[in-house]
Amino acid sequence: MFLLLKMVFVISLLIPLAGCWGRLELNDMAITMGLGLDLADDNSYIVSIQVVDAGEASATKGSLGRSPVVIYSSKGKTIAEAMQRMTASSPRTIYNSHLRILIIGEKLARHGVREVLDYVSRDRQFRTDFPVVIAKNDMANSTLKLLTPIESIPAIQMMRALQNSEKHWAPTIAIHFDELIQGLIAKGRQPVVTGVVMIGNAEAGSNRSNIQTTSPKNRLKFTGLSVFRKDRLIGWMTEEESRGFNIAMGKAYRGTGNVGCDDGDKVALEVQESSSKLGSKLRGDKVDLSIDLKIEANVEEVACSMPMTKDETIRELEKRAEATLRRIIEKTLERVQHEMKSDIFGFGEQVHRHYPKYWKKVSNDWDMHFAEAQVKLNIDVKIRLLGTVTNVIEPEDTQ
Amino acid sequence: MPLSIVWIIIIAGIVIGIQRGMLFNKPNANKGSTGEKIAFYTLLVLGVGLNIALFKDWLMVSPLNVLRMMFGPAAEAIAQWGMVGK
Amino acid sequence: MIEERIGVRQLTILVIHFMLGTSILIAPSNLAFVAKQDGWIACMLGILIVAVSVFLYDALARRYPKLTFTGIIEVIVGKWIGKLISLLLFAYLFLLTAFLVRVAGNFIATQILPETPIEAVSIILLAVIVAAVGYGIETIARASEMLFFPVLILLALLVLFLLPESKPTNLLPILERGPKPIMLSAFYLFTLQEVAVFLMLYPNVSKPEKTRLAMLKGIMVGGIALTLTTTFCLMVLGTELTERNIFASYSLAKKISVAQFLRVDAFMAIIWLIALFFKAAISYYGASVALAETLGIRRYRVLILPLGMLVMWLSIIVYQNIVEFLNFTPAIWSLFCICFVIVLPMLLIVIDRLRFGSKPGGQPKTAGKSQEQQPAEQAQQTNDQDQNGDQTQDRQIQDLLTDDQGQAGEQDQQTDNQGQASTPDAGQDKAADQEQLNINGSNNDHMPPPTTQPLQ
Repeated sequence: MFLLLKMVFVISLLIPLAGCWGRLELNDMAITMGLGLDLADDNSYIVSIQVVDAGEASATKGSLGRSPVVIYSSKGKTIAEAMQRMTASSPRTIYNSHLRILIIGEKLARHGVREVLDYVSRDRQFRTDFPVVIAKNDMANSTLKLLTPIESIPAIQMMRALQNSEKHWAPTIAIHFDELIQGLIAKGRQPVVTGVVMIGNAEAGSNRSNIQTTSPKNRLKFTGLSVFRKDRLIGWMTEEESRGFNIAMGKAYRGTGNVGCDDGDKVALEVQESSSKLGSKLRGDKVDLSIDLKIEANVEEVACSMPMTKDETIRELEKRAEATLRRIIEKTLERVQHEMKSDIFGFGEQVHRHYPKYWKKVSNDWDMHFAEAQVKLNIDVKIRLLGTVTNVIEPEDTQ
Repeated sequence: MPLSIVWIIIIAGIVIGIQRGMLFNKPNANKGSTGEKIAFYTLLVLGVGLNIALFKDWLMVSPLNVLRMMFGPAAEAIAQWGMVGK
Repeated sequence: MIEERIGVRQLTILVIHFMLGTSILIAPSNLAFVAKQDGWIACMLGILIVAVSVFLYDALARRYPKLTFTGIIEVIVGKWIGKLISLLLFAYLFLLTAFLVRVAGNFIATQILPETPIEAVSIILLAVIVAAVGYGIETIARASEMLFFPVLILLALLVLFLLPESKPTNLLPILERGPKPIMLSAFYLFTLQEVAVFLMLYPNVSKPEKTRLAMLKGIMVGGIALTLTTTFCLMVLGTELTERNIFASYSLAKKISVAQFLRVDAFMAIIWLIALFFKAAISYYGASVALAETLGIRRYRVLILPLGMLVMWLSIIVYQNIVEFLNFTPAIWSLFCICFVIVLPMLLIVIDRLRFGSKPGGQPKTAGKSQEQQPAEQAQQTNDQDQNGDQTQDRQIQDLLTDDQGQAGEQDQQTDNQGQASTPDAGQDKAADQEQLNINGSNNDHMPPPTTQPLQ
């Protein structure tokens, strides 16, 4: 008798296992792929989400002609309020766990992102592994509306594009949400965020006809990085400067650079390995900063006629590469250090780690100290491989 | 009667039933000594009473307040000592 | 005469589960909050202190190897004061159990099942805990053995997958704010381990002389796991994020994505739930036994069901919101713990020496037996009794101890009359034993033999 009771008890314990209290069926969910945050004129927030239309996005038998994603948008004094209001127009429960990208409108970024990011970090649905971008001169709303070729869900396309270009094109890096938070909280470092621009126009781009040609008129492109101070955007870096920044941080990955030859033409070098170390040295009342950069590169393309098989050539190219890099980084430093006065490299953290007592004194206005500090660059480039051939193609004169 | 109170009483009933069946039986050491029975029923009554009080929002005061009063100042002092320059 | 036996290795594993219990989830955040990036040093220091405290307990328990903590209290300070203190000890253990159940509910409600009311989670967890304790500490010990390897493996996975993302430079500058925050943090950590609860289990260990080593091993392994978790939290998330996240190690687990799609944060929750379950079960066992001994009730099992209802009540009332919890736990709870974890044992040892000199107190009433008579009696009982294997082991242990310490250190010998052996029921099913409690020798000389009635 009791045995029966016990068995009933045990089996009944299995029932709560399914967590039925908080169940959400898959076809009751609106899965958010992209989230856009903007600032409205009256200082309230506009929240836009890009939601997958599952039937359309994965249509195997030919699409129904609808767009694979839908944008919902609403306003509110807080992000949470706006999200709630959105449920008035969405037929399904909004589910944020699979967010692929977060876009912040430039106006909001300049106003300050601290408040909006709190919602994302506090809510339990959001993870922290999605990249954040800022819509340059634009509203996140419009950026989300654009339909993209190849990848039917634009948010995924943006995320993938960002990750790919991070690997191959030096000016771009993907800043993930938790990195951004860390950058915001850390006292010795200011965050940077990738920018995205729209070429063309949002309204036209939100139509399917946009992606029905071989070269869509309206598309998105990632541009240079934005520089923050505290939690406000204070300026944009050009592509060159962003490149300099990434190189200085050792994130050049497989970026390609051009080096001038003797005769004015160029040789293209592709970076294979790069590592950089930030250094600081206390000198009395001031601190000297330094960047040690080590790069190993391969020759990718020889567009001039220097003899590739000679040692001196290689060494010469290395020196020129170093000079070029130095120039780029110095330009970046000039802009960031002197013009924008924001320590995006993280020198402050370095100083904190090695000279905690000095850091205590300067931490409150570190950016000013940073602006006045001397940064020494030690760059070392080594060319390793030449690709599969040695010398250039020299067409023989056929006389 | 509100549903939760019914539930509490049901659970109490189940508890008594289990106890009776399993521990207060004849083969089990003299049907449970008097002491055991007193303790059991006292605790049960206490449990039911307090749970009902909880659902009716009486007696929400946490017993931890006693602890807080006792150790409060000392805890503050220790924290002050340890957290230098926060 | 103890019925429920815990193997030495089971004790170690229980200790490990116990240490991981709540600490692995909450401690990193607290450590980072007080000690910032030196949290890992504080963690190691705290664990060291816990290890040292084991020697303290050992010194106490060695003199009274067959008594639980409450038993020892009553022997040393006398019956009535002893009962008073035991009641306080019960309150401590009871409160601890309620806390654990509540924290579990909170965690699940925050991270995993946000729409489920906490009570639902608490009730289910509590039902399992009560059932587990009903089956006895031996069963719990065996279960912990079985559930140990998954816990270990999952922890190893955590460390392995996070190695590439860890940045040791996050741990600099070391000792930036001096040793004081580290010491404070270590103090908090130490008190939160509440290892003294194991004093309620000491009599159950099958080889008492190995208890100390087993505990130390458990503390070391648990401590290493805890330190690794904290260190990785600091290295991967950085100081600020570790401070900020209430459940820091859970956030750590969220960062792992194997091959870009496998998410393992649920595993972390499982490890934690398992460890927490054991911590709560042991605490609840301790609380029930403490209450039973205080009230003079022989079968602690009688109390577990109604006590469960009370735990339910307490777990809801114990704090209103998580902020209260975060403010209360390190500061005030740690001081409260200190009373039972350090102060009480130390006082007991001192009083014990003063009062009883070199021989532990509380000889049984039918004393007047000299040392030679006792082995004889033992032999008699061994022959007569329904054999559990206990008796022979008892005798061996007794001999061992007698040899070691030259004391007649047994409190609860089988000094009763065979006539009381009521149950011929020979279901030697140890797993479902109904346990008889051993009350301290000073006020009870009749010990009914173990009834081996299987729980139906």
